[in-house]
Order: sequence, then structure tokens, then C-alpha cells
Amino acid sequence: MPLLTVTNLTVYFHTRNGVVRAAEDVSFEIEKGETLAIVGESGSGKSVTCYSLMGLVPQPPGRIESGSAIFDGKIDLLKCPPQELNRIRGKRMAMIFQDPMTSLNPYLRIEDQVIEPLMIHEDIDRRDAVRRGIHALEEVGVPDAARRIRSYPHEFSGGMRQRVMIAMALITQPELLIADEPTTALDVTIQAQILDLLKDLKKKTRMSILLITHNLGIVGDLADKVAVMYAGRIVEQAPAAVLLKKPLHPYTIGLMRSIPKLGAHAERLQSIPGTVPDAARLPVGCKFHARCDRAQGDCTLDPEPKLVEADGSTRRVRCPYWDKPELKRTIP
Amino acid sequence: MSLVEVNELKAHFPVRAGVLQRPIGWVRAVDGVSLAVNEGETVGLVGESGCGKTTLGRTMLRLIEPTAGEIRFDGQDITQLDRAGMKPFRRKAQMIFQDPYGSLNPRMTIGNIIAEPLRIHKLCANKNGERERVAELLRSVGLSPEHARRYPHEFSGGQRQRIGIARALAVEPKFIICDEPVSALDVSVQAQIINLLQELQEKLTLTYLFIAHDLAVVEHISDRVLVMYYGKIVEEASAEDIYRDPVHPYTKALLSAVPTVEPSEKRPRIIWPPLGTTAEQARASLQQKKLERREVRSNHWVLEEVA
Amino acid sequence: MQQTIAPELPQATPLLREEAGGSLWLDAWHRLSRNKMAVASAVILTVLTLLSVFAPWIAPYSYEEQNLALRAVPPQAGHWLGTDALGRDQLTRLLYGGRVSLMVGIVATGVALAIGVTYGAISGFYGGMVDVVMMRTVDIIYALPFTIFVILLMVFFGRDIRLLFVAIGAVEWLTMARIVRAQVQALQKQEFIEAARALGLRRRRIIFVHMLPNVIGPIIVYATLTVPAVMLLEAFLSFLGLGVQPPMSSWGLMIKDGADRMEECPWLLIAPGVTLATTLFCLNFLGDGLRDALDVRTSKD
Repeated sequence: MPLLTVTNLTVYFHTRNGVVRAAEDVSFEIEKGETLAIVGESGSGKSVTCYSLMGLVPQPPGRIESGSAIFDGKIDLLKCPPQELNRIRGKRMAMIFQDPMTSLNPYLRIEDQVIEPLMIHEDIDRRDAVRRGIHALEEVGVPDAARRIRSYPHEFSGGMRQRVMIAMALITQPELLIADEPTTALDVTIQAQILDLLKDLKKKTRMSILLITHNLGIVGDLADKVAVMYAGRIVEQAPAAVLLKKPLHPYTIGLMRSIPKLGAHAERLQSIPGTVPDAARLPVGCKFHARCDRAQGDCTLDPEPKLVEADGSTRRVRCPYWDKPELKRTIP
Repeated sequence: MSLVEVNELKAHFPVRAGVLQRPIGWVRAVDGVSLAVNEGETVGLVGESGCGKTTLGRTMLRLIEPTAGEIRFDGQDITQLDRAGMKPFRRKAQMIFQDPYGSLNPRMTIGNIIAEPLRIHKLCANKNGERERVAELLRSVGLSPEHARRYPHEFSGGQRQRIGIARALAVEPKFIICDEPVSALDVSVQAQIINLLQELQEKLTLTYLFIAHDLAVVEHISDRVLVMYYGKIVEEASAEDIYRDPVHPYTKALLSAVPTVEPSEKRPRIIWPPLGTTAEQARASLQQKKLERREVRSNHWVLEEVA
Repeated sequence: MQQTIAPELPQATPLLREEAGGSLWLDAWHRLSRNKMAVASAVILTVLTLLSVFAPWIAPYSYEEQNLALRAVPPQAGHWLGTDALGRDQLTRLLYGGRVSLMVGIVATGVALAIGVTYGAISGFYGGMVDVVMMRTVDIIYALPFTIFVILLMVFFGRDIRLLFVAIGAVEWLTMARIVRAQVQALQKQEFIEAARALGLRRRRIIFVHMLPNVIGPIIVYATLTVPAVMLLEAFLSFLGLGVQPPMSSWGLMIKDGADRMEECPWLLIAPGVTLATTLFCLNFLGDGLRDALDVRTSKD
């Protein structure tokens, strides 16, 4: 049984300028010990999806219009009462964020912040908590943990702070870790260290990870499954290795082609023309048709394409022409 | 002769303390950099945060005053020029900035933002000519002339970068320093802007210094690559050579840290600084030891300790 | 040739808003007009201002006219707000007093603005020693006791109402300078300022064309909050006998008279007190509303 089953999650924001359809009909599953990466650019809905799992979407103006997120087969994260959610958040499910500079409280020592989840969720006295805190810091590779746990965040570098955040998230040994672009703000060498750390922890703890990223290299390194999101929808889902080797959705293909690869020596990058549509005014039909190189007439009409099985039962694509890469665009 | 030449450029910033704000130490952001950029080429400058690459770019345009060293443009030493003397140089060298949200004045229409350099340098004979030129510039970066009436906040990040590029092109520069022009943009938009920069380079015979921390982007767009670390250039070679045959351990570490899509392309991970040393120690060692720039392969230079 | 340069496909109109959005000022105006408290305050203030401006035409009496037969009478027909100890009509004095108080408020604030903005912009822009010296000077002046300063002015230059403007303006500019300096310093780090320098713009142009328009928001807000402070200051000085001199009236003076006779003639205190309080409240609400309306976080993705 999957650890997390998200079905038809739809989140809208009701703003003065209209309804922003941030996430539409998002469904995925994460098994125990599995890592799912959600890939997308800004406006794709990837962050909103994960924030709503943690109950972090402000309602209003946001609203979870429909959908369920069943955790461990029993609890719907989207509908359960706040007290129940609080028992899960921070204990069985944890989240780490993108910007290490702002995700720690600058006024509290590392010690107070790292042990906080323990103090809240477990019946433990402070001394034991601190001992576990030091251990957690050692696990994430903070040198001289016993002494540095007494430091303040500003005494740590960005990479170290990210490690502290990971320690904080993992101290209660959660079953699911949600990581929102955990390495985007870090230098590439630090990023590599954090990724190694996450891989290590994966192996040791059989923890499931929901990873949000726009970096396909990280996906290849860390993820078992991938879901690609565009304009609030999942447009492609597949096992990671398979998707990276052979993407099927025109957006995924375009995305991969537009990323420069070390040593590729391409003359020009193949960019996807146009820009992401305004989530408050999405086009009719397939949301990608304006930029797609194989869009046909019916792509501009409602209803928009559904996710269909493609190339085996482990893959799904939201495009009726996924198997016709040679098709050329026929709309103006 | 190179278009741009920099010799032993230094930009040191004092760390002040005490009531009288006395300098107690120095941040050596740019610490003896020498480089040359030939006309028409793209030189990539790569490094991690804090290495000084942004400071180097700004110092080369004298947006930050150098502490020592010289900057030569078209053979002329511009390091000591006064404001009036610098003005003609301002037409020849421009900069494109990183932050699409902070690099445009939110209170000005983009037409005015692009027209301003035209007015300052008196490049258009009259209002009509100015309007024509603004329209032409907007078109050349892929925007529509009607957009001139709008304000920056009505545009997306990628579009704002295009506006920034149009502004830089208004003075018809020969040399443009691109300071992380795509780092703040979405991946698919990055490709558009990179392509735009390359097309403009061909069309207008531009010379670029391309500063970034993304190795793949730098390698893609550059002819030659300089690797910067704590204020110094530690390795310098053609883009191909840097990638294929890095020599300095820091360069190797950088390349090995890039996550690859293809598992087969994985390099053995090099740790930098070496196990047992801290970043602090690596920096101190770099700044205190005697170093020299040696040509280790053909046209491939590395900063090494003097034996 | 356009085709090869990253074309924007026509229907994927990339702009975040279809209608020519217009400037941030327009946005701010819309936001402000939706703020009911701010709008109500603006209306009340406008009414009060108009009443005061047209005082000579609408006041039933002259402000110094004394009717000794009707001294210190409570509100009644003919004297809607009663009269004071010398038989002067309170309503009239209130209207004329408004002219003084509002004028002091606006003029003194204007003076403070002019000095403060220039001073702060220069200090913030140039930085370094210039900034240090200028700001330490501000600190020193801040430390001087205001009341004594005014008294000294009065002693040397006599009791002229214009001195009041100068005195108050000369003190209020300090905070304005600090605010503008902080804003300018924050702006210095913005890349569009660096771009302006890279283009070769003169410093004067950078300050006035690029920095100040982006600082005007907080300036306006602070100005609307300075006016009530100034009016209160005037009231305080008049209360002490240092400000406006009879037979001229100001709200401050009226409050002083009213306070003196609070027990026997409460109406003398209530009318000016309520009016001054209302004006101050309205200015504060308007100031808050302006601050919220102008606090544009220029868009995110």
C-alpha cells in the first residue's frame, strides 16, 4: 500500500484579478522508500501541490477545491481536523525549504530549533532531546556537532544551514520528506554534498521523498519516479530513468532540449517559444498548445487531453499525439 | 590586440570596526586578476558564490573602483579617467544584470528606460528618431514596439531581461558584460535568452564577458572559460579543454559536482577543499602562498604554487 | 530576421495584464479608493479644510467681535457652539482657528519635506564620510530640547506666527531626513541604479529621476503623518502661550482656554478638542491608507 496517495488534487486561488487555477486534478502515489520528483517551472503548480499536503496553503485566498491525499492508507491530509494534521506534520511528514538563509529563526540557537520537533511530538526531556539533536547534526555531516549546536544560524554557511534544516526535518524519523528545491540556492559543490547526503539517508532509513525541482540532473541522481507539471497539471509521469532517456510529452522534450549539457557542444539551444500562460487566464484546450511543435487543431478545443497510458503501464502522458513525434504543428 | 585587457586588477574592501571605523582587515574580492578578451569572442567567467566574479565584472566597468591594477579598453587605459573621460567609454562597454526584478526602474515606462541612454549620449536627432530607435531595439530583442508604453511590472522575468538587453544595446556598445543574465530565470526561458544573446552577438559583432555559476551554460556559450576562486583566476582554457581536460583541482571538483542526467557521464567526485582542510584554510593558502600562472597545455593556463 | 530571434508567438501574449496597466500610481489610487476608512477620512478632511478656507465668508461673526452681554454662554441659537469669556463666538473662532492650525500643519510639513528630503537623499547617496557627518549632525540636533529652542527663537525674533512655521519645520525635517536616507540606501543596492551608472548618467539625474520617484511613496506617507504631529506641536506651543497670540485663534489656543475653564464652560473645550482629535485621526487613517496603497510589491512569478 502506498505511503501517500494523492487523487484529483485541485487548488485554486480566488484573487481580485480572477481565479488562479494553480493546481488541477493532480494525482500521484508514493510508495514506502520511494522518491518521487515533481519537475516544473514557475507557475507549474509544483509548490502549491506540496504545500497543500502540509496544510501550508493560505485559505483564503487559496482553496482546496477537491481531491484527497491519503497518508498511510488512513488519513486524508486535506480533510482531517487540525489536531490530527499537527500530529503528522513534523513527526511522520517533514518538509525542507529552498532558501537556507531564511528558513531558520535567526534569534534562536540551533539547539532550540533542532530539538523543537522532538519536544513537540515526543515525550522526552530536554537533555535526551539535545543528545538526539547532536546525533542528528552528526548524521547530516555538521562537524564538531556537540559544540556547534549552541551556535546561531548566522554563524553557519548556506550549505551548513541546509544540513541543519535536514537534521531538523529528520530528527523525528519521518516516513515522508517533502523537499522544495532543497539545493537551488546552493553552490554546485555544496549541492553535490547535500544530494549525497540525501542519497545516503534514503538508503539508511527507507524514507520516502517528495522532491520538487526544476533540475533534471538532480532527478536522474535521486528520483525513482518523475511527474512533470505544466500550468497546474501533470503532463507526464514515468520512472525516472525511463523519462530521462525517452521523454514523450512535447513539453518535457522541449525542456530537456533547452537545457545546456556539459560537453554537448550544441550551436544553439532549442528553446520552447513563448512563455508560460497566466494561471488566471489559461487557454482553452491543451494548456501547452500555444508553444507546442506538434499542436493540431483539436488541441485548441476543450476538453483538454487526459492523462493516458503510454509505452507501458508505468508511464502516463497528457497528449493524444505522444506517439507521433514526427507530427508538425498545423495551427497558426 | 585585445579589445579588453585587465592587468593585475585588485578590488579590496576594508572591514571596519570600532568607533572610528578603522580597517581591521580586508576582503580581497578581486585579488590580482589578469585577463584579455578579443573582439567578437565570448569569455566565460565561472565560480561559486563569493569568488569575486560579480565584483570583477563591476570593477571592469568601474562601477566599483579598483584598488590596484589596470583596465585597458581598445588599447586605452581607463583606470584613472575622471567622469568626463569615462563618458565615451560608457558607450563602448555595457552590462546586463542578473535580477530581472531589480534591474529596471519600476516607475519608468520601458520606452523611457530604453530611450534614456539615447538621450544622455545624444544619439538621436529628434523625438521621432528616438521613437524609431526604441522600436527597433524592442524588435531586436523579440518584443513589440507597442510595449514601450508599459511598465516593468507588467512583464515576466524573461521579458524584463530582454528589456535590460535592449537598454544595453541602445548605446551600440562593443563589449557587454553579462552578469548572471539567466540565473534568475526559468529553465525554458534561459534557453531563449541565451539564444538571443548569441544571435545578437553575430548580428552586431559583440564581445561578451559571460559571468555565471552554471558550468553547462558557461561552457555552451563561451569560447574560452576562466575559473575564479577567492578572487583569483585558477584556470583558463578554451571551453572544450576546460571540460575535457581540467587541470586545477578546484576546476575538477566543480565539474565533478554537476549532477548529470546520464549516469554514464558521471565523473569521479573530487572533494574541494581537500579533506582535512577547511574553506578558510584553502583561502588563506591561496592568498599567502606565492603563485604563478603557468601554461600547462597549449593555451591552457593554471595558477600554481611556485615550486 | 525576426523569426530567428526567439519569436514571441502572437497568441501567447506574454504580458501579465491585457489592459495597459498603467503606472504604479494608478494601482495605488485604486487600492486607496477601496480603503473605506481612508476615503472617509479624506472626505472629512476636505470638508474641514473647505470650511476653514471659506471661514471669512461663512462665519457668522468676526473672530474678534466681542459681545459682552453674552459672555461664556453655552451653545444656543445664534451661537451654535457658545461663546467664550469675552463673548466671542466659538464657531467663528473654530473656523478661523482651523485656518491657522491647518496652515501651520501644511506649511511646516512642507518646510520639513523640502529640507529633509534633500538632506536625506544627499546623505544616503554619497555615503561615506559625508553620510557619517550629516547623520551625526542630525543626531545632535535631535538631542536638543525643542521647547527651549522655540523659546529662544521667540526671545530673539519676537512673537511672530511665521516663526512658528520655521521652528516646527526646522525640527520635523530630521525624521524625514532619516527616512529618506534609509530608502535611498536601500535603493543603492538595486541593480537599476547600477545600470544607470553604467550608462553614464550624472549623479544628479540618478538621484532625481531614478531614486526619488521610488522614494516618494514613504515620503508621502510620512508627510501625512507629520501634519498631525505638527498640529499637535502648534497646539502644545499655543497651550504654553508660545504660539498663536490672541485675538487670533487656533485650535490649540482654544483648547487652552477651554482647559482653563473646563468645569464651568465645558463647551469651550469640547468643540476644539473634538475637532482637533478628528482631524488627527483622519490624517492618521489617511496616512495608513496611503502606506498600504503605495506599498507595491512589484510582481512575482
